[in-house]
Amino acid sequence: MRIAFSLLLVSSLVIPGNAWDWNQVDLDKAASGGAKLLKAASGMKDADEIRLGREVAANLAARYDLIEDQARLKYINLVGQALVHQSNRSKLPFHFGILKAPEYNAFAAPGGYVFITEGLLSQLRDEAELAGVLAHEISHITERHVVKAIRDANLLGAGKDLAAAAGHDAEDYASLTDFSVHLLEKGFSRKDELQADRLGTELAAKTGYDPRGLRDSVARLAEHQEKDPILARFKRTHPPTQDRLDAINKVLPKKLSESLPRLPERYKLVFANTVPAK
Amino acid sequence: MSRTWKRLFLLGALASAAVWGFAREKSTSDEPVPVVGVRGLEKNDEKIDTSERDYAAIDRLGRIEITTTELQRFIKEGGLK
Repeated sequence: MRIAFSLLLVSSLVIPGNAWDWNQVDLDKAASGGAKLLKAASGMKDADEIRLGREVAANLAARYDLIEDQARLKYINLVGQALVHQSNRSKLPFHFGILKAPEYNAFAAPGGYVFITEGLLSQLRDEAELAGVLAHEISHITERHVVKAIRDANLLGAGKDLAAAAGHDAEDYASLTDFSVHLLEKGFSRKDELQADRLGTELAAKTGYDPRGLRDSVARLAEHQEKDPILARFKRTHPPTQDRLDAINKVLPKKLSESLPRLPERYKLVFANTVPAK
Repeated sequence: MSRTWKRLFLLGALASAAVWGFAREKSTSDEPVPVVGVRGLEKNDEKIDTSERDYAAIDRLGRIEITTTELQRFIKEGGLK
């Protein structure tokens, strides 16, 4: 489809001048269309990505409810900001929230909004595991996976949507938000998930955490996988466990010190009594 | 803008889009379909209401402030970088 479209465009450039009467072309309209297409190709500005992310985050907040406990919020924002500080989008204003949901999952909305469920927090054992999960989600944002998925969906459609987002067209903007919400619920592509596993592990290591945190949390969830129906959603939104463990193991150093920070005391001080919401 | 400049701009836009189209096709041909008809969608009967919004909750979340001093202390106490 894209090749056909590209061929059409290229052929339009080599058509002899007399085959295309420029005087019949509304150049203002054509130039405007070209600008939209270029905007689609080059992606989305941070300000537009943040605006889209706020819409998606407000939708998640309305459907799940956010935990308002200030001590817990402060703590996960400290862990998150320590990671962001070492990331390649450290200037983006990140926000970390907790969803009142029993399922084991975490979400990354565009523009720096990261959410983790109360259910998943109840399954983690230390700060290194929390850092691994948050670093995975941060990596979806640093790699702009939602924006990429929008662009990959359909060249012309995405061109229209991204341009609409930049232009703040309310109707088209709503469709862009719909698309992003569904993408978060159903999961990114396998390739993007495995990339987030690799980059998240590296980011946790760069921040000084024991980089085995994400691997350990994924492995523990896998132990329950066959018998726990609550994991059904997690399984649906992530690649098979062994693929994830293989991807993470590839970036883990061969020899790792046992004294790297795991910080179980700090984690348990805040989340010891976390019971998944029913 | 003169018509000549508009013509040059239009040609540039078309050429860029054509090159981008080829590049995208090459880089994504070996990937699973990532979005429309997303994994799991056909197995999931849940209806997601994408129109709901709670902006107030997001505004409250945005008011969680981490100062540079707090962050540096947190990093130092945890033995992080």
